[in-house]
Amino acid sequence: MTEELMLQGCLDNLSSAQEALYNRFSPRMLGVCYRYARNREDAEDMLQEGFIKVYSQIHQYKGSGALEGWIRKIIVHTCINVLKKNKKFSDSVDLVHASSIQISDNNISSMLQAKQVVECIRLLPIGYRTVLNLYAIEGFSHREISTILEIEESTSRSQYTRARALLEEILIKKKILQKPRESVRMVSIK
Amino acid sequence: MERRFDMSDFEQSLKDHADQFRMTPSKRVWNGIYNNLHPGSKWPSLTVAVVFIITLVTIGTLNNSPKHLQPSVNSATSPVTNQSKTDKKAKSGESLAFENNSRAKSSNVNQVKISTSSAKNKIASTEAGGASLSESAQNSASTILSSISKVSSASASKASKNAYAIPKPISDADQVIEHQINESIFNAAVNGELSAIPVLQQQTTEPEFILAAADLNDLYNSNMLVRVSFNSQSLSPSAAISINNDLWNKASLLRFIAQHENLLSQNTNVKVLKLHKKRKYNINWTYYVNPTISTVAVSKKTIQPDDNSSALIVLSGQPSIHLVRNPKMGLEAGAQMNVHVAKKLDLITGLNLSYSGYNNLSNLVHPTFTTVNLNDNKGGTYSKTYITHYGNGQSQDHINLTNYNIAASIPVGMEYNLYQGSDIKIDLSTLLEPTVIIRDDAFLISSDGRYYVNDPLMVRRVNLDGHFGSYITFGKKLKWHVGPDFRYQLLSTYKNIYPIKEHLIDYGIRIGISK
Repeated sequence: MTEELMLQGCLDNLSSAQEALYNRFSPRMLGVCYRYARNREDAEDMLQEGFIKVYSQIHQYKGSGALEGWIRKIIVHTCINVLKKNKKFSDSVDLVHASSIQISDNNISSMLQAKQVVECIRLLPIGYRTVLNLYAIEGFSHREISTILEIEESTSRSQYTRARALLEEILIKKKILQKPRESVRMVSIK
Repeated sequence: MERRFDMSDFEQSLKDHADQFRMTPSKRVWNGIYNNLHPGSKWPSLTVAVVFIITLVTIGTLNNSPKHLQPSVNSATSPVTNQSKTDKKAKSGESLAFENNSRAKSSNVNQVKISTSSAKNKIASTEAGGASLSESAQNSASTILSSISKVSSASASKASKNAYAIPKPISDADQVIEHQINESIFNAAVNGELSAIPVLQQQTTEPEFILAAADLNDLYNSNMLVRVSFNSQSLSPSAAISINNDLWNKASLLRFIAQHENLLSQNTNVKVLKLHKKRKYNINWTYYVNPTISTVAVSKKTIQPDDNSSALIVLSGQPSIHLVRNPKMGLEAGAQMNVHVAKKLDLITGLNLSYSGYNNLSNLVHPTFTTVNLNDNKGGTYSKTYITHYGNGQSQDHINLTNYNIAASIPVGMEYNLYQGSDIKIDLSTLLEPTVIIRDDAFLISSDGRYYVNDPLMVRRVNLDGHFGSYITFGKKLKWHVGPDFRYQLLSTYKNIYPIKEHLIDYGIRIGISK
């Protein structure tokens, strides 16, 4: 089914078109939700809520950009809204220190690298993770993030810096990223 | 194609990898979306659910309805209808009176026939059938009719020739007097001892008078109703129908016996029919809340990590782990359904929601790595590393980490009636509760015992609780149930991979109400 047919069908509230749209974009969108969510169940709840919004607002899509981008934008905002309902998230996004993260030592080598990277992102505390997702992956500026998350712009910057440092540490520990080699100064021995 | 993670352009590399990641959603996501977008398709399931609930409520209401019916005002216009209703109820097991011998059944058939024909025709047909009526029987009939007419003079004026008003319930004072007069006859009738009414047995020829009681064991109950029916062809059919269609209470019966004592002893055969008591499963609902104090019992199995595991070194340096866990207030609420299955035994089930938890004494530390050793399915162990800033310290600036769960359960068990007084009863109940954890949070102690880590996913989603309680029930219209309650979690709070076994214990006072 072409994108135009899918769109028209969704506008006509046809379940076949809605299902086709869902089947096409849901795997990638669930991947997006999974980066924000605490677990898979939460991610699926976010996806469900996001897609309901997509179908209810599909008449607002003017075709100026890619449909996937438009859907992704709705999904991301849905994820953020879900997270913001949780008081723990509001606290953690403002906290300087991490709450707790877990790194499993088993079966790392068998995982694909994309999944590895996402799993490493998910190891970050929720506040760090959200800022990192919004800035590094979704491409929002710190000013936009401060508006979305209702925090100070400086907080967003500092959260991102810490998130990135912690993620690098995790990626190194997982052997996805190699430690940058320190420059060795050659000293002549007399 | 996979690309190596590029440190030089961290954000772009991160974005590339993250965008490649896809997951397949489960079927329930689309079902949820579809149901939301097309709510009409919900109707079949909703309808079925509503019908199911209405059916349950109807059955419950019918089972809880009192056994007696109100004494019906004698219907002057439709005795046939009344008789039919009575017969229908008898068929459906809701009748107050039914007969357990073939002769009585045939009598009922006769009564129906009588009601559908006129008095004259009936008498004529009786005579045609060869039944000769004794003179005394005819006298009896006329005496009864005149007596009833006197009692119900007010109603009689409105009544048709085929119907007579039943005697109105008499006053308490009258009841006492009449009870004294007729006690021997009435008691004999109540106890179903036919031999105790020797005088009434002397005449075995027709006419016959049948006294039927709904439940002879309950006759002393003031709400008890009895039905008196005439099976006599010698009596006026209209009188027989009229009386037969009415449900009499105890007072009315006493009065009737008083009025016709002599007549019955001389001319009629009184038969007391002992009725089968149909077993009904009385259902009773109790709604309760149960404030609890939740605490925990902990046991730790020895874990044997690999020799080269760093955890072994840590464990060897920490022979004992000291934990401080403080009890916390919890709450249970729910509805309990009692199904009466035996004299002192109820089957109980229902729906229970509970919140229980406890506090771990902890203190904030700088974020650090720590490890929890876990059992794998093959009998081995592996470790999981966490970053945490919760220490297992009991310093003055401590914080409380709350382990809690909100669970729904469907308890199933038995309730035994220990004592039954006039105003109070005491029951013992024991239950098994399969529970589903709806929401939880869990802080686990690390293997070295120095830190707490937050990992709610380690909590077992389905558990089993044992429940024991003793309740005192009192009150009349609204019954109160109060008593101590004890609950023990039979399976460990955590999954089997976590070596420490923890069982929640709740002590509470249940307060419930029922009708």
